[in-house]
Amino acid sequence: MSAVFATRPAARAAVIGAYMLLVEWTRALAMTIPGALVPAILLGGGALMVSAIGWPAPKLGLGTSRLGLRILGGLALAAVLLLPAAVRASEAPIIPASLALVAVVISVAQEIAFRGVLYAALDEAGGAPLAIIGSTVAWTAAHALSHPPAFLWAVAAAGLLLALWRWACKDLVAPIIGHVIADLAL
Amino acid sequence: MNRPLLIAVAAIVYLVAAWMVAPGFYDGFAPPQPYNWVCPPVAAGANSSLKAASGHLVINVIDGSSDPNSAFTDDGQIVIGFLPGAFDATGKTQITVDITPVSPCPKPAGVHFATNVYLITADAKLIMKANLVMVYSNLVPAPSFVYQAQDPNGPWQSIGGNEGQIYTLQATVSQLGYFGAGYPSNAVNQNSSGTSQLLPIAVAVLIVGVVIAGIPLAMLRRRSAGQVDEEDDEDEPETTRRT
Repeated sequence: MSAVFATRPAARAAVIGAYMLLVEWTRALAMTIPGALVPAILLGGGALMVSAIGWPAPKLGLGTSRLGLRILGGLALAAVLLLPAAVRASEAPIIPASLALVAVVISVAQEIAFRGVLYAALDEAGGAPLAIIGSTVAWTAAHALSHPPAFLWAVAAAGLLLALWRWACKDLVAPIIGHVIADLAL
Repeated sequence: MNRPLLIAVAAIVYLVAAWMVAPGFYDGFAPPQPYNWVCPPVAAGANSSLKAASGHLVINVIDGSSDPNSAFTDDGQIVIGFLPGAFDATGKTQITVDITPVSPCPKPAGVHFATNVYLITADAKLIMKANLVMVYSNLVPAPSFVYQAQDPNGPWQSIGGNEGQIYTLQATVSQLGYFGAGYPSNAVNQNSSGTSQLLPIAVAVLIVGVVIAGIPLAMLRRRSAGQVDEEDDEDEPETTRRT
């Protein structure tokens, strides 16, 4: 199977994307079951992380070189992601503190899955434009069951921003940091 | 178009898109909890179009004892469960329970409601304790207690409250009447103040930190760029590289 995917990167990217959508949609549906919220998030996050097995860290944009710039970029992305909520702080939803850990798990897993694995697979299949657009479309579609339709444009814009960072800086550490901080803050 | 400019444009597009919806959408697991408000808070915004629903239940009386059953509003925002024989069913074959959202919203001194206030009535006296569950929205600070009164103007008394499923508070009630979940007013003031100030402060600290830390990093990068050519390493971030 791996030999087939090695020669057909487009097929591999399609399978990876389908797997991620299946995981995210299943998670969204499972979260509606009473008492299943936390287990669904943790299992869903774990299932997303599985997709990273076999991928070298540099391919995913992970690494420790120029760590200062990566961290700084993450803080800058977090500031941008949180700015609309900060300006309207009284309107921001309040997430129970008990969800902080699962917020970290799911945000790290989503970044590794969508801007890490799927981005890399699409990049190999069709180059950077396909990777940026494809990962953003998949990321937005993954939120279709958990978010009202009106929110999906904002979700897509956030995904595009993070994907462009991934492309421009060849870095996934900053999107992970930005996503984690944004999730923890709300 | 160079890469930093593309990122800047994407950031602006994001800010515009995010401004058009209520905050808190990108976490992927906790979008604003839907709630049908009688008196929507400012935070509800466009999500407050649905009216709070009422509920109606007919409980059968068999052999002089009322059946176990649960009354709830059509939107499920309040549920009250009755045990077998919960009502004094003397002379009755059926008992009717009604739940009605109260309007205008009571605003008693000393209590700040985080949910609608509901009036629960029955045409028989409750003689056993019942379990009450109230749903709340994450758009407002989570309530600490369920309050009960026999008149919307009060006095309101806390009957306790335990977290059940997420975004729900449950309590045991021994008589019917008016119910709402909320806080003591002084607790709300402290909490909402902290909530509303913490996020802007955190973002301001992030921005200042990025600017302050970015200047020396940019200087170091510019200096090193003048000395050696960069390698085109897949592992390395290229935050200042131009195309």
